[in-house]
Amino acid sequence: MRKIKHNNLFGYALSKRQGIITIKIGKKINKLSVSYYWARKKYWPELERKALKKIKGKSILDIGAGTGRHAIYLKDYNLATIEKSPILYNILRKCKLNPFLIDITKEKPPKKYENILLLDNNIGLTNRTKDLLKKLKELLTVNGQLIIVANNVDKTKTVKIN
Amino acid sequence: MKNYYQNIKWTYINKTDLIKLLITLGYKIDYLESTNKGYLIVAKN
Repeated sequence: MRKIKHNNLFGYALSKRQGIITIKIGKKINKLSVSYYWARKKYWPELERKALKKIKGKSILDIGAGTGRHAIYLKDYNLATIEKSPILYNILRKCKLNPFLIDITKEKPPKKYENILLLDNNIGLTNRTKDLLKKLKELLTVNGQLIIVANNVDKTKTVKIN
Repeated sequence: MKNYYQNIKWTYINKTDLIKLLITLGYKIDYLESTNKGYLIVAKN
């Protein structure tokens, strides 16, 4: 396996649109097709498609928005996205997905939202889950909702994007 | 096909532990669906 030194290789790899990325979730090593992160809605895991149907209200914050594959379908809402990778932030900005370039574990956006999305295992962005959930509670409006999807990713996923 | 490797460590938290944590923090579980492919949780403030 070729190792590439890059201070944010995940963002770099995703921006290339093809290849295989290896990540570790818990104790499992997972190989994922980069194309998975660009997949259109019909190729998403079923739970992610259902998650978007659970949105109520008008404002949404998509945390760890990545390539914007979810957010791109939410443009009709008052949408904001968060990404800590400058490369991915630029992709989100070009797609007009109202991104904040911040690390949610260290900073937070200035306003509250009716929906906060933590899709595609982003609940595991930090090992300080409790602190993250406390912070997100402060970012939710009264009766706002946190929508979480965690996928089992112990198999290589290859997804067509065309 | 190019392989990218980075020691990205995502924390794995199982559904049961996450639900307990959410409830402890004052969230209300509004919807839960669990399959062999993963889980979906909607937790209200």
